[in-house]
Amino acid sequence: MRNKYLLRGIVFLFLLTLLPFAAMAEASASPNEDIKVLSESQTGYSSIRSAAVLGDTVYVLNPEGIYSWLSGQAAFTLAASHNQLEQLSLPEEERKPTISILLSDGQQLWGMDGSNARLFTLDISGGELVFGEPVSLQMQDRTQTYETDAGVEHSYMDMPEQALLMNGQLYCLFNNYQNNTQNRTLMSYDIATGEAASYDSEFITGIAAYKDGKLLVSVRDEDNSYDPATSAFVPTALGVFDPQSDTIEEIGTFADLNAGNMGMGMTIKYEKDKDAVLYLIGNGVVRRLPDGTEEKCAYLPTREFWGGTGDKMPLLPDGRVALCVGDTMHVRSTNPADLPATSLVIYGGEENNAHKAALQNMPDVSVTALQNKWFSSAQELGQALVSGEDGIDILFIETGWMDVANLLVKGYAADLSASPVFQEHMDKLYPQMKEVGMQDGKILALPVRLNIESMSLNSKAFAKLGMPLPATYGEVCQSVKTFYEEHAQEGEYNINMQTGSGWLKDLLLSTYTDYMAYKGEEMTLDTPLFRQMAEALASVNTQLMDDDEVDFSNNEDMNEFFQRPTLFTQGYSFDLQSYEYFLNRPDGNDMSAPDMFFGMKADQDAPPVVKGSAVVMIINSQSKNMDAALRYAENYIKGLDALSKVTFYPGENEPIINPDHERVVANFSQQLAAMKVALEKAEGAEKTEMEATIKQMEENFAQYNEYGKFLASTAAIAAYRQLMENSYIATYKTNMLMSQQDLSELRERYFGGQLSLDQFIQESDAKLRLIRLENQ
Amino acid sequence: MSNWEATRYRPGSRKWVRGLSGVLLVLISIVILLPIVLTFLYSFFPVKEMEGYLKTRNNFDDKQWMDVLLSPAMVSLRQYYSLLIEKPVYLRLFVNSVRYTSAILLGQALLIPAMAYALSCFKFRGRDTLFFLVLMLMLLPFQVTMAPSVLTMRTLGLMNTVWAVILPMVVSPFYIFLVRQYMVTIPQEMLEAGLMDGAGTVRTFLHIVLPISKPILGAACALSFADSWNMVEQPLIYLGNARDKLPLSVMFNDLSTQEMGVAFASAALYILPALLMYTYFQEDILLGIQLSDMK
Amino acid sequence: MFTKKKSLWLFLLPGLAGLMVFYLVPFIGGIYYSLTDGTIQNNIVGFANYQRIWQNEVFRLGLKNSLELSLISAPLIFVLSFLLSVMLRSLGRASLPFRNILLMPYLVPTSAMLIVWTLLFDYGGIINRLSVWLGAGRVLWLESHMLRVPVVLLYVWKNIGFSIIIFSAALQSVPEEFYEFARLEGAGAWKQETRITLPLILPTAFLVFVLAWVNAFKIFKEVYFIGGAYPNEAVYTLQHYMNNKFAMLDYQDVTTAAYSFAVIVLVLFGILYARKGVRGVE
Repeated sequence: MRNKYLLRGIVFLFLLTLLPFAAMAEASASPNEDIKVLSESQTGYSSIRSAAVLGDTVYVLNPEGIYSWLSGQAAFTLAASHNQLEQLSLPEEERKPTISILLSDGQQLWGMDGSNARLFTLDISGGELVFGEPVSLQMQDRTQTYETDAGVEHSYMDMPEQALLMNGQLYCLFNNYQNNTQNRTLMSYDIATGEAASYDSEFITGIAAYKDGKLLVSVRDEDNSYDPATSAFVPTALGVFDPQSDTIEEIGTFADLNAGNMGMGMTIKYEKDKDAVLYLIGNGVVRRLPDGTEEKCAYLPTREFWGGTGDKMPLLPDGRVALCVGDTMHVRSTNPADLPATSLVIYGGEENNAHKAALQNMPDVSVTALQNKWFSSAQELGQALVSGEDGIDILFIETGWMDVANLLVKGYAADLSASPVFQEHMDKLYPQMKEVGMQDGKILALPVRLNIESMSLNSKAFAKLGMPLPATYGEVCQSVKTFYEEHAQEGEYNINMQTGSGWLKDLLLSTYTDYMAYKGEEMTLDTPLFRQMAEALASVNTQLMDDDEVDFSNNEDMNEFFQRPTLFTQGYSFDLQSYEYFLNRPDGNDMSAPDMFFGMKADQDAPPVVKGSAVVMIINSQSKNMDAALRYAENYIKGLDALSKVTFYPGENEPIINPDHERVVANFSQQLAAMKVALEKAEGAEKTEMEATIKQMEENFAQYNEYGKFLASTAAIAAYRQLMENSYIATYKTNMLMSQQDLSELRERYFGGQLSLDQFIQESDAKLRLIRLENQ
Repeated sequence: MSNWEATRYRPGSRKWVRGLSGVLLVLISIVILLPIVLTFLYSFFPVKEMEGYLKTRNNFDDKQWMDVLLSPAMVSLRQYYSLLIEKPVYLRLFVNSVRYTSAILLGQALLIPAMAYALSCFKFRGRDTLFFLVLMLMLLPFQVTMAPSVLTMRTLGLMNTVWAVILPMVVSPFYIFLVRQYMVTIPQEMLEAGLMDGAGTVRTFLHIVLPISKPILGAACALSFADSWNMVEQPLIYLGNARDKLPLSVMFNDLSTQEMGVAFASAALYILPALLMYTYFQEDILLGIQLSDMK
Repeated sequence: MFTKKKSLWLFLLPGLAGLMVFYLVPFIGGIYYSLTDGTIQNNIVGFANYQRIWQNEVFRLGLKNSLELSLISAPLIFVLSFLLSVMLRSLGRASLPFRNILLMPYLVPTSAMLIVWTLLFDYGGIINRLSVWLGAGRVLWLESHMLRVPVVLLYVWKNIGFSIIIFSAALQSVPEEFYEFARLEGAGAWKQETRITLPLILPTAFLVFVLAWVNAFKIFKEVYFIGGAYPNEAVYTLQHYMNNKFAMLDYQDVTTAAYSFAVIVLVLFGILYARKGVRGVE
């Protein structure tokens, strides 16, 4: 007896130990996967251009060929190689057809050659691409032409935005941006004969195969999608399109989850088994059920679905979708139960590398950006946070335009002092940046971006005109005067990228503000320094400057403007990557670009001050997802890219190599080679134009080769550090003279000549005083 | 008919008193009407001329004066056209304003006289305290309860709805006070007369008190209309971003800063409904001002 | 007078409920706010806010201005409307059109009038022409402390009609016989008015005064559009202070200022109210 129970006990225990393995096996087959296409060669980017589903397999097309993926595989496999760039260097007869769009009709793969309007079958069963007999599509009316400056006419074929095969027809949805409309045109082409059929049904923004030879369509007049009376977007309608009768039967509307989705078209898909429609919004997929209710069913870590034509949202037989962005295919389950349990809402911010790094480490959390809400003041933001109605967890705010300090004092930001990651980050920052995020010794905000504004000019232009380089505001005024007295008539130079006199007036206030802020003094205009600077401005004939104002919307004027070198180059802010290029560019190139950056001095004895604006990340102290928010923030900080680190950690001084450099250079070479081949066949005006283009390309290539190697070279970093030596971070308080409404009005009136300098100073100071005392 | 026809004025008033009064009143009336007339006048000026004229403001040159514009170079109706037809926004806001005002007036008609009746014609413990409370609440400007009101509204789930704007105005202590002060002067005999005839409080209210109070009710109606038509702070605070629910008064401020040329036309259009309303109800208001016969 | 009637509640309840919810509750809730420190955790700091506010010279400036402006405006309206009502009464039927005209400004939304006002009081505008003609020279109406004048004038312009109506109604209620009697006794016009009219219409007078005061505060909107959030010091009122603090998320300061003000108002009117003649009923 004992033996029997012992045996059973052992079997039971054995089975018990198998359970965890079984569970793990279940868990490991996660419904959500991200598969990357790996590029073999050095030349191309591995971006996926088009995708199609055949049976259980997903096929993707990229510049190097067609890759396939079967559910369960860890990576793509190369199904057939087809390097399109290489093809260009072959003589035309030897070239294989270009595949622009990959399509599937459920039975086999098809390819469409966009530039030559051809459709053909594709057979990759043998590991090599076998092209079927191409059918010419009657796409003549989609030919677009344009004329270059040299008078040569070029034409190209319009590529459809969406395309699908159904019932022996290729349905294509084209956009019409060149006709200044957001509305699209639906065409269909017979795949056997290439015969075209056009339709009168209009305002179609998306198509999907339905049943009985009909299409599901999303409909909205995109040119009038915004109704100013209700201050809301018109909802997009869902309809059934019958090609036979050319009619659309509307069966409902989509909820406005994407708040507009202007001009981007709708990516929709029909789910047969549920009689539902799947559609893509921002960073997710929504399912619209037959009764009109909608549910979010998939989350994607990015909103960047720009590229790809044909089938933008391939649907797998197991119900999952495969969305391709860049070189990654995101396969997602459409079962709402598989959505991440936690979600974070972020206000502000952008999809930069740090953000992507954070998301990569948190696939179990859905991160969405707050749509269509813009807080113009701390008051609005504070109210939103208190009411909790938007459920904001993380905020990115610029310190100059919103009173961040006030938000911190009021306890709206969570205390982040406990995390060593944040501690380390703060300690490595420039002290003035660190200050912005600290309050009472606690870390309440994390600075994550820094942009600096400095004065910049084209020193070569100054040298040519024999003018000394200005360092103070007074000297800048003097330069302007000298220019108008001696050189303006010749009409060979521009005084500033920003035409008119506005820049000089703004410079007065910004230089003074920068000086006072840097010194840490209370803002007041009643100082001899300000008067001196204001008088320098008054001595300049600003009317002359205003007369020279250029209307940049007029192409001719604009081109003429850029033919001339510009002395002051204020449109440019200091950028590490282009620093070397600017310094070393050949004469005659980019004549409005600077080659010298420095901070402005208020007067001779003042230091040259540079203004920095910072963006800080704050976690809402009332956030319901504190853990997830902290994880995001930590991953974000850890994922900061090298370039950012150089800008705000003074200790990081290693030059940064441009990772794309080699690849782009190789790509460039290939393109040049292809163009040279084409050159040989060209004649006449076209040939001259091509020669000019090639020459330009070669020059650009040489420049890039030399100066594109570094994202931040040693010289650039050194120059940057120099500028940062006398810098301060702009806050709401320091920007007040420029941003506060009452003070701006005073400024307008002063510059408009309606107030004398004394009155301006007196009234501004009175208001500044009121503001300051109010807050004590 | 109007009791003014009866000799309600002082029969013994000397002629010179009347003459002087008349002259003074004429002068004062001109001064009072001046801004309104100017607004309407300037609304017919073409946009460009108006903009040019408005630019001459704020000139601190002692040698220069602003022109006294009395007639336009050209009578222009374009501003009206662009406000009414080109931008249908105006009409929608107008409709919003009308809706708010009518809702508020309706609500007040139901609640205010009843409350005032209770405070004036009934005796109960705590009545004087309650009245004092009403008085006190009336004296406080909006800003006093602005911040906590937002919280109350949010708790009630009324934020960003039209009710947040309507309901507080409906129970406005000011009108309770006003009507009550009037009702207090109703002689006791009247109320008791009703009682003796067997009417209850409700009957007395409907058949005696209300008719007598017509004067003040008419006045209150006109005043409340003006208040509601004019209100700016409440919509701004409670409606926030719901732009389609805003009344005209709020948008007017936006409009006027952007397009100076049409500012007068929009002002004129804004004033017009109020004036029309007044002329229409004028009879009632004036009719009701004097006390009616009590017998 | 009805006593012990249950139907009282029918009339009282809806209004009372509304008052409680929309006025009293926020009022009391605000007191709580004024005792907190303004951060999102709402820590209680007792009367520290009150201390700080009262020491702030800008708050005191706002308070002073609010009181001064309303104490200038209210009596002005009071006196003017009384005089005008008397004048109107003496005209009898002919006074109708005048009264219509006088009431118009109240119905006209003031924000629509602002532009005209800024035109009239502009440095180069009509009022200054008048001022120069009268020998006083040009005045900076809109930019200096003289801003009080256009503001008060705007207020008086707007509210005179309303007060006149109230006064007129009261004046009518004075029985003719009293005047007959006084005239027979030999009293002159002035004596008649002051000795007979005024005392009899005291409740109404009180009403008018109160209303004038109340409306004096509603003038904030207009000052804000002329002068901005930080106008000349002479017209920086308590409401400017509260408005700006609200914008800066300093809710505790808003409510502290509000309640300080409420206390002052209460005290003042409590005193007035306590005098029996004013209440008007047993």
